[in-house]
Parts: sequence; structure tokens; C-alpha cells
Amino acid sequence: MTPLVKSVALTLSLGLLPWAAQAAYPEKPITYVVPYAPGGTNDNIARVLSEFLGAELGQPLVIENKPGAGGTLGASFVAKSAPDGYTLFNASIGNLVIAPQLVPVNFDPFKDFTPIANIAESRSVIAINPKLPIKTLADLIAYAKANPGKLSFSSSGIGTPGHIALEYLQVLAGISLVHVPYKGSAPALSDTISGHVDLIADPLANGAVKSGHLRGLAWFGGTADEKELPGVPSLLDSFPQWNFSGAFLAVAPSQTPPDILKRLRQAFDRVLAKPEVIDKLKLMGLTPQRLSVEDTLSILRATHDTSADIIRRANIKAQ
Amino acid sequence: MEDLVSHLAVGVDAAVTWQNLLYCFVGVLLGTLVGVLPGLGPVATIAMLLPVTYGLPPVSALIMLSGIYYGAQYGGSTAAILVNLPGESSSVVTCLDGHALAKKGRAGAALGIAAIGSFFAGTVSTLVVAAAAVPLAAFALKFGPAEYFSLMLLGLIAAVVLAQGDVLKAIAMTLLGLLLGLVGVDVNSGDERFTFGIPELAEGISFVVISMGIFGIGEIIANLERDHHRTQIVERVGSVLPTREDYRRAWKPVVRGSALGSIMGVLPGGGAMLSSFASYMLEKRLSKHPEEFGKGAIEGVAGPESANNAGAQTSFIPLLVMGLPSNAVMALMIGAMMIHGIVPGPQVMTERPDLFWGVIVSMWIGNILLLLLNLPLVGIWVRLLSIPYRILYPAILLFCCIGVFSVNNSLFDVLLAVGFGLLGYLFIKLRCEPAPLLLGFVLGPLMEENLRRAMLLSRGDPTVFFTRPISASLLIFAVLLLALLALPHFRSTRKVAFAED
Amino acid sequence: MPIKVINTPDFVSGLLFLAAGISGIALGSSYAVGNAMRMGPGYFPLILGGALTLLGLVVLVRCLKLGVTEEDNLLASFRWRPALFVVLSVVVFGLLAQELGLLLATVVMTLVSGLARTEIHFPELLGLSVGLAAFGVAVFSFGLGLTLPILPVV
Repeated sequence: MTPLVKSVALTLSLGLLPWAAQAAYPEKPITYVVPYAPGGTNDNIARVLSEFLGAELGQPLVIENKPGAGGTLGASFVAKSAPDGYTLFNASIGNLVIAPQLVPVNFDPFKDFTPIANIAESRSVIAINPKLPIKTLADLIAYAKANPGKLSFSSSGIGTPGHIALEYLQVLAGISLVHVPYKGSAPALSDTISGHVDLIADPLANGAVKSGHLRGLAWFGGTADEKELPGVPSLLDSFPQWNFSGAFLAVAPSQTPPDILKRLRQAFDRVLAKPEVIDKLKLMGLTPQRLSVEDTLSILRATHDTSADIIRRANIKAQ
Repeated sequence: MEDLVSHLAVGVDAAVTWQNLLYCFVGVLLGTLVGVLPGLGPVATIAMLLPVTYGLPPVSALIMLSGIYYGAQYGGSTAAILVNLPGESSSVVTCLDGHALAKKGRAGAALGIAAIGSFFAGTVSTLVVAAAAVPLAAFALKFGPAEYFSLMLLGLIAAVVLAQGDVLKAIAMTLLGLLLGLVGVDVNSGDERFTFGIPELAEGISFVVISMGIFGIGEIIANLERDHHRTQIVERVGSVLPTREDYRRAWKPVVRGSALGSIMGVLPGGGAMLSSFASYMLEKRLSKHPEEFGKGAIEGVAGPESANNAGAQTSFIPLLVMGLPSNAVMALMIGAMMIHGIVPGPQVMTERPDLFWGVIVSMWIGNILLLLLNLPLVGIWVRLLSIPYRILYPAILLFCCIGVFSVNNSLFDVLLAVGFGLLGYLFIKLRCEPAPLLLGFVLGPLMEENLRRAMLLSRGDPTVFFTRPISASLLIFAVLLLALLALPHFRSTRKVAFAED
Repeated sequence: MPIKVINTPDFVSGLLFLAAGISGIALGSSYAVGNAMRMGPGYFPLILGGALTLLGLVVLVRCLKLGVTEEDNLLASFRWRPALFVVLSVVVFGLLAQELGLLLATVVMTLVSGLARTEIHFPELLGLSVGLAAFGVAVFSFGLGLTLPILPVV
């Protein structure tokens, strides 16, 4: 079938398409794969970047949403794509290194991908419903120790950074909370604001803390100043060994030729240095971070190992 | 009251500029277009158009995007009435009586009443959003997992009411739909269910795939079989406009539908959709001619269409008041706001009153534009029905194919739609109505999710469904309805059984 | 008489529900059931499968009790031609769209779907296929920015 299709296609397209000259990369639009449905943070980041990257590279970056299986469907798609620089992946920590530990995937985050650029770290806030008599992280730990299994926390799903983070907190603080997973951050946050669930750790909770719908206990990942989260301490103040946060990065299939990678890394670096890009990323509760490829890889490794340890210790399973 | 007037004045200032009126018009026009084309929903359209809105001022961008959303709700009824293809779950209801009316040569009446009902509902719900957004948002927060479960249960009973024929088969079809809805990754455990290891099934089956399969492909096969004595959908086109009698019968359902939709639309995760089912159920129960339902009762179009449109408007409330998206389109709007440098949340109301009230006022303007746009179109749509079926069905097939492709760009989805097409054909042969299956399919995952969540939060205590007042009232209501539903049915089957002895 | 009953829509739908219910139970029982507080992924499917099985049985029993009510002959009512060509046309569209583009895929799909009818009028069908392809590209590709390619991808 395919050779026939190809030859028919070739005959028909002769004269319709101009013959491509031996131009430098990129000579056609680049597909930028977002592993979730449109509208989430990952998608928003890709849309902000694609606008500027298109101008930088001289070819448009076309966003393709490939949702499914916690983002691993999109990751496998890119891992299996031709390493020609025309299919890139807008990865999150969750779909690149956490989900592969929980669901069966046919890619290896370290063998099948190579980083193009670290985009940003996401700041999450551990927030609690303000009706509870818990004002600080220390209160929370004391309350949870006195009433084991009484407090519940919501997350945007099994194996998401918000879930892993609160399992991590349970391990570090020696407390026990009931996990209530949701389909996405918005319903999880909604049920925490209304008090059906007590706690949440999610980047989306930043806004609810600022508006007083939730009480912030501690934040982690990226940076926060007094203006963004007034009176909320860093989680590192209580747990200096804390070594986990959500992050976003652009990756390409690992066999991509070095000159193409160089071109892409240069373009991403220039775009990520633009003040307007930085501003827009900050607005999404992100802390833009330009890192070397080596540093990006070592952070990925560290996050992978931390989450592997939490998944083992908290006995998180998804088949 | 004074506040409301001054707020609306801010909104009028923001919305009534030539530029914003134009974007509002472009939005509702595009929305109508994607609504009419079955299978292509507002989510795909807004996703494709997001980059276009980068260059616009935020108010214009949001006005246009919301126009697409409620415009699509408007347009969705057209495809449902004309060709019996529901592009979205809420249109399943409109198919029932809307298409039956079209077959009787009364498509014009159905389309006209749908447009006028939607306009009335849009006006009422815009006022509701303006006057009561904050208290309604607080009401929505009262709905926890237990309340949602009870609400879904009520919705399932509505699913059975949707069927006109055999109640037993309707219940079985609902259950089948519930099972189909469970395909994919289970939210609570992360386990895959009924996926047979196929990664494309991990995220579940898309509504568009099932709907285009069963209602599109399956119907076409069955229609072609009857081809010999049927050349077009209707023999005669009939009058274009609703009659005085239609208005007389429709106005009460429109009012009730608007009220139901305005309230239920606030509930995230299918509130607007449930309101159209609820409205159908209500009208069928209140009608003096319940036997006409499913065979072309104008009330069965007027009520649900009004409810659906009102719900679409008030589903903006959680987004506007708290920055919480209640469905996929709202999530995209959040993305659009973020890209424009606006953090969605309660502060939008105070920090950007022009944006908040501008969008609200634009909704009402958009509804006027939709009415002006759609009433003249009714004549054209009705004439479409006189196109011979041999020309119409390849076009419908094309819409189905593109609709399915637009979801994930996946060949697997197309093959799955074909499978559901054959299943749909079989259902027609077996005289099993597909509407309850679709409703079960949509409600199934929500129902299970909330049941398990409620039990997890109550630490395994099932009394939580009866001790929480809203949940308890919903359950009592469900039981009453079930009793009302069961009584006449058992009586009539017994009669049938005796007659055949 | 029994064979006549088997060949009725009600009886076959009963069988269909029964089969769906039993497969629901069979597949559902391979997942963890859990308890009332922590319901496992198997809990809800088992309940649904059980209810569906029961309903399937009720429909079957009702059939046998009521007997054949009308002149039902389910098997004889099937026509293979529309089903075959409608299915084929959609499958062909799916296979071709990403490589050959929307334009040609639509033409081929329309032509194949035309075979579903017994009286085929080729000039009209050809005209229709070209018209639909042009319409599809104008509305979906240019109007709405659909990502499917328009022309063949080389």
C-alpha cells in the first residue's frame, strides 16, 4: 500500500510543490508536541515559546497536542519520530521521568531523548483549607500526627508532581494523609477550596493562596517573593533536604544531528532570555531557568532518583 | 442594584466598540460554523485560533473566544435537527425531537424555536451572571463528591426517560454506555481498564468517536438500506417558521429550561449538559402529551435547547469568579488569559472590571447577533433537507471523518468510529435506542469517580449520601422520579402481556 | 418456533447485553476490587457487569415468554452492500488522509461511498467527489486551520 501511495503522491505533487533546495535547517515547519490537551501549563508554555521561536528559526513551530497516558503517549510519539529536528517535545518532569516509573512505556527518558533547553521550574504551594485550625507546616505535622489518616489531600492525578510531593512530605515528616486523585488541577483545587478535601500541592494553588481562598503553608520549586506569596515560607526552611519540584524542558530525539541540536539550543536560549518571555512564564507561576545541557541532565537524574525513592517508599502503584 | 447598573455600564463601554463588536461577530459566526459541522467542537477550534488572538487586546480576544463557545452551542442544535448528528453530549437530546420534527417537514419550526429559545435563555443567563455570579459560585462549591454522585444518578434516570420504547432495553443501553465510559486509565488507581494494552485507549474513548460512529456512520448504513423508497430526508420541506401553536406550547419550556440551565450550568463537569437532559425529563413529565415526545414534540426542543444555552453562559461563572475552568473550553480561555498577562482569579473582577463586565455584556450582544444570524439561516438550512440523500450522505461521512480526525489526528480513532458505526447499525436493527447509551457513556466515569471519591472522603461510610442535605434531596428526587417512571410503564406492559396471551 | 424466537431483535439484544455483561464481569474481575472505602478499579465494573447480565437474562426470558410478536426476521433484514462500502469509504479516508492529503482522500472516500447504493450514476458521483473535496479544503483547511495536509506529503 505505502509504496503505491507514495508513487501516486509523488506523481500528483510534481509541479504542485516546489522542489526543496538544499537549504539549511530548518527548511519546513517544526512540529512541537504537547503531550496534553490544550489549555494546561505545558500547552501555554509551548504556545508562548512557539511564537518567538518561529521568528528566531525562520520557520513556524506548529503545536500538536498528543494527549494520553499521563503525557507518555506524546513522549513515545516523539521518541519514535525521525531525529531530524522536525519533531520536538515540550516535556514536563511528570511525563518524562515520573510517569515512566508508573505506567508501561516504550521509551527511556535518558536514552531516547536529549535536552534542548531547560525552560522553567514550577513553583507549587502546599495549601490548606482555611477553615482548618492549621496555620503553619509545623501545625500541619502536629495535627496529622495527632489524627493519623484524618487529613486528606487532592492531586491532579496519580504520579503527578503534586501527588509525589505530598507523598514525599509524608515520608519526611512521618505523617499519614489520604490521597484523593482528580482529573486535572482545576477540580482538585476546587474541592480543596470548598473544603471537601483538606490539602493540595499544586502550582495552580498559588492564585488561591493569594486571593485568600486557601492558606499557604510552604512553597517549593523555583522562587517566590513576598509579593507573590505573602507570609508563606519556603519548604526548604523546614526540610533542607527537599529535592523535588516540577519543571518543564524542551527535548529532541537523542539521535538528532549535533549541528541541528546546536541551532535549536541557540534559538531556545535566545528566546528564553527575552524579557517578555520571562514575564509571561513568571505569570504562570514559573521560574524561568536557563541551564547548561549537563546541569539540565543532572537535575533530571536527581528528580528521577528522588521520585523513584518516594514511589518505592510510599508504595505508589499503577500496575 | 445600583452596583449592577454601574457594572453593566462599565461592560457596555468595553464591549460596545466597533472593534469588539466585530470580534464578537467573528466569534459567534465561527462558533455557529463549527457547531453546525458535526464532530468539530469548540475545543478544537479555539485551540486552532489561540495563536490568532495573541495580537488582540485581551478583552477582544476573550470576547471572540467566548463567542465561539456559545456560538457553537447554538450551531450544534442545527446539525442535530437536520441530520440527527450530535456533535456534543448536550445535542443528543435535541436529536430526539428535533430530528423527528424535521422528518415531519417541520425543521423550520424546530430551528426557529431553538434559536428563539436560546436567545431568551442567553438573555436570562447573562443577567444571572451579572447579578448573581458570586453567590452562584459559592453554591457550586457546596457540590462535593457526594452531591455529584447523587446528581449523576438523577441524570441516569433522565437517560431512561429519553427512550421512547422499551424501558428494559433503555436501562440496559445505559449500563452498556456506563461500561464503555470506563475504558481508559482509572483516575483513582492509575490502572488501565478495558484497554487491551492499546495506548490509544488509555485516555478513554472520545465522545466524538462514539457519536460520529453510532449516529453518523451507523445511521447512514441503515438509511441507505431503506434507499429504495426514500430519496431525501423529508418528502416536503414545510413552513419555515414556527406557528402560533408552536409558540404557545414552547414558551413555558423555554422559561423552565432557562432557569434549570442557569443554575446547573455553574456546576463544573457536565452541569450544562445535565441541565438539557433534566429539562427534557421535566417537559416530558409535565406535558399533557408525553406520548408525542420522541416523535416530534416542540417542547422537547424548546426546553433542552434553552437549558443548554443558559448553562453554557453560566458555566463561565467559576472561571470569572474563581479562575476555575469548568470544562475544556474554559481551560483554553484560562490559557488565553495567561498568554495575555492576566492571571485568572477573583482579582480579575476588581483589577480588570472592563474585562470582567465587558465579557458579560458581550455575551448578551453575542446572543442578539446569533439570533440575527440564525433566523435568516433557518430558511437555508431547511432547504438543505431537500438535497437528495445520495448527495447528502457522502458529505455527512466527510464531516464525520474530519470530526474524528480533529480530535487526536489518529487513524485508530477513525477505525474505532467505524466499529461503533457497525454497532450503531446493529442497534438500529435490534431496535435499541442509542441516546441512553451516550448519556451513560458521558456520565459513567463522572459517576464512578465521585462515588469512589465520596466513599474515600467519608472513610467508607455510605450514609454520607443521605446526611448531606443537597445530596439527600437529589436522591429523594431521583427515587420519586423512578417511581413515577415505573408505575405507568408496568401497567402498560402488563396490558401488553395480557393482550398477547 | 424456538428458531424463530432466536431470530428476533429482542432476543439478539438480550444476547448482546448478556455477552457485554459477562465480559464486563470477566474483565472487571481481573482488577482489584478493594473495599467500600477504597474501591478498587474492579468494583464499579463488577456492579455494572452484574446488572447488565441480569438485564440481558430478563430480556431473554421475556422473549421466550412473549414469543414472536410480529413477523420478525432479523437475519434476512441485513443488507451487506451499504455496510460494506460505507465502512470501506471511511477506512480508506483514514488510511489516505495523512499521506495523500485531504483533497485526494475526500475524492476517493466519496467514490467508494457511492458504491454503497445500487444505482450508481458515475458522472454525478465524480462531480460530487470533486465538489466535496473543494468544499472540505475551503472550509476545514483554509477556514478552520485543520492540521491535516491538503496535498500529498512527499
